[in-house]
Amino acid sequence: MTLTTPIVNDFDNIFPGENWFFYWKTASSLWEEKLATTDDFDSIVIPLNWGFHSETGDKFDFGQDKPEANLVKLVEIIQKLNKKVSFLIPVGPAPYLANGGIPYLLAKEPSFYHQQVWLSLDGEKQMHKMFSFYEPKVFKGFQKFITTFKNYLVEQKLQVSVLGFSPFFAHASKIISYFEDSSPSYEQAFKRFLEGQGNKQITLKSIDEERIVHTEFRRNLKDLYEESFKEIIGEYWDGKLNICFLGGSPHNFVNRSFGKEDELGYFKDMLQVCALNMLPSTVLLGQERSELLQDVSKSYFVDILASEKINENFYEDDTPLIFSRLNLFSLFIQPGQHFQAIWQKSYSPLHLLEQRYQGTYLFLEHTKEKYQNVINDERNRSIHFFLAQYFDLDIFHSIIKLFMHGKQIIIDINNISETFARKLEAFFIENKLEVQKVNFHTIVRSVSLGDGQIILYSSQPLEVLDRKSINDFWQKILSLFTFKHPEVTGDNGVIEYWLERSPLNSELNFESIRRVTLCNVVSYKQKATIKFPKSFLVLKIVDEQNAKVKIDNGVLDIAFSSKGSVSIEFGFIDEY
Amino acid sequence: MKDSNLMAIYGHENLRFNIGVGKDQLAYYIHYFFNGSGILKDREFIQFLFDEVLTDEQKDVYSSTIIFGPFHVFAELEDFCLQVASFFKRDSLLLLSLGEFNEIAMTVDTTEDLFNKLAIESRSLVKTDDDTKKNFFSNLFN
Repeated sequence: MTLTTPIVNDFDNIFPGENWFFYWKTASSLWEEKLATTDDFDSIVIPLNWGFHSETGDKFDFGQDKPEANLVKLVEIIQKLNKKVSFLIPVGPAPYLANGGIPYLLAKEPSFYHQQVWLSLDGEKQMHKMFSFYEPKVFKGFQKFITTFKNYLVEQKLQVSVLGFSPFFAHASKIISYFEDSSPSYEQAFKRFLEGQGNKQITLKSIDEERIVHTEFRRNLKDLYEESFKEIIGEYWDGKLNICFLGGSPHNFVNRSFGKEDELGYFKDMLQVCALNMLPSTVLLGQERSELLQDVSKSYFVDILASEKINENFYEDDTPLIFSRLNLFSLFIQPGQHFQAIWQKSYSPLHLLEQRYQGTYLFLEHTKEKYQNVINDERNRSIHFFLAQYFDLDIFHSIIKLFMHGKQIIIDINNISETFARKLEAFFIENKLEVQKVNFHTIVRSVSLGDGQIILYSSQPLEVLDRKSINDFWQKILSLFTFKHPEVTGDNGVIEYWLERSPLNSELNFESIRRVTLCNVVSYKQKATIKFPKSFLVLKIVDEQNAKVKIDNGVLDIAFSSKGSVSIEFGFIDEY
Repeated sequence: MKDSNLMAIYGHENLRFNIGVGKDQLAYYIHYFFNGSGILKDREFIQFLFDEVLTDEQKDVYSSTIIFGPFHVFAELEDFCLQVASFFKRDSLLLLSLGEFNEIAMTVDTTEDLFNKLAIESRSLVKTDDDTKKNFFSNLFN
């Protein structure tokens, strides 16, 4: 048995990842010295530890008793070092904190995931038990803590921003909220919720119907915490993040307890997390994570913060060569909806995207603002997938606007309502748009206007096809678009992620510069091949570590030894 | 917990409706198989489960959640555990319910204590000659 006893590495314990500073883990007299070592960080995240500032939930210590609870001193030191400060407050159980962050006396009712007590391991392999946020006392305690903290900021005149975050973990290709609690506290709260609706005799016709009510209740309670937090913190509120803690699942807990880290799994989880525009965090992994994982996680962290318009200058960078994630595809989801429910069906294009276009797709929550951003972004050449069964007027209007602005759209019209089916047909007729039709496993219709293109299909006939036929179907459909991308094939241990930037003045021949980073995340040799069409020109090969690259006639062959990685930059010319 | 130990943690789900109408239907699930090196997940094992042991219904659950089940009778679960033990050439398997797991988890502070105590408190499921004879994987036992 290898229950790992880690070698103490003070730096990793205090700075567990993504510029987070665990102020309670080191003496306040050492704060300045420690923080001064972080020259490459321009901004420091201070994750607030509720349980550290209060044992009872009634009385709070901000330095009166424990010097390490003195946040004024901490902020002054960070600002003296010319770094920005952001407080980060978990709105839900925090898996890196004792009791999930809840003060000792409030941590009475354990939280359960699928009947199992929630347990987590932090970067120092300390075991933490999570406690239920469905307890009324916890909610009141949380409000009291935020109120006291806000008053403290006001009294001390601290110039800081405060971010709230919802914690998640990845498990079995799903991203799951730490609010997925099935404890007795949850059951009691659920019962109160039903009674509060004055509907004690509620009858549900099926388990599915019951699940919907449970989901709605969980969402309501999560919203209640988040809205309460936002309201109380007031002018200090700088936004809300969704953070997924790699290594935080129950299976990870068991494996990590025996010293077994699943680096490949963490990378795959990270790609999925990023596709949901959530932030990946490696803070639970401590010294066990590789530099590679840490670097990739940090770069995603920065990019997603920027794309969410939160703390855009989180990390200042002198170089003009700012890359952002390459999004070739966006898949629509409704706010609050789990992407799994709709995009993991057997006939979904997601399977091809996961296999062939790793790290280049995004699940885009439908809000008017987000789709307006897509419309305004002239460089956005993504292909946008929609499901007509979820249409409402807002979504329908967004699609029409996207199309009129030259965007590329694919709509599954299965279960479309009569109203929207008529509206769609009327739109084509009113604008005298020619509808082309072909029968390829299902009726596929295509409508074009300038650069804009809509493909309509019904997924129902696809349900009987096997995975290979489905992927072939989607590959053919994608070939209908003016869409070019290098083809990467690699061994199982190779992970790829793509970034993109605008060309510099000296690169104006190119439409954009795309950078792929390939990492061998396993400890044995792996290979990968990139076939790139004429519209891509290899500009440079950078950061070769334990990797050898051969280039020959439009093909790059890469041989990795243990934990090797390489980045390749392509200039993209759209004329070919 | 010894390296040679093989442990299964199981739970049950009352497939009744929590509220309203619905019939009672108990189903057992195995949440983990693990040994002293972590959760059993090697390719041969998965292949073994998919090709030989799991029914289509169970495969669906396994694919989406990585838990094993449903077993509608507890004896089926035990039988399945013994087959897994045999695959890994063990004569016995430690079996523990999630309820017991939770109780132990709430009384310990370290993972070392947790897994050692789980091994002590669990029930040892031992393969008997009868199991060998009746089992439809009898060739695996020889």
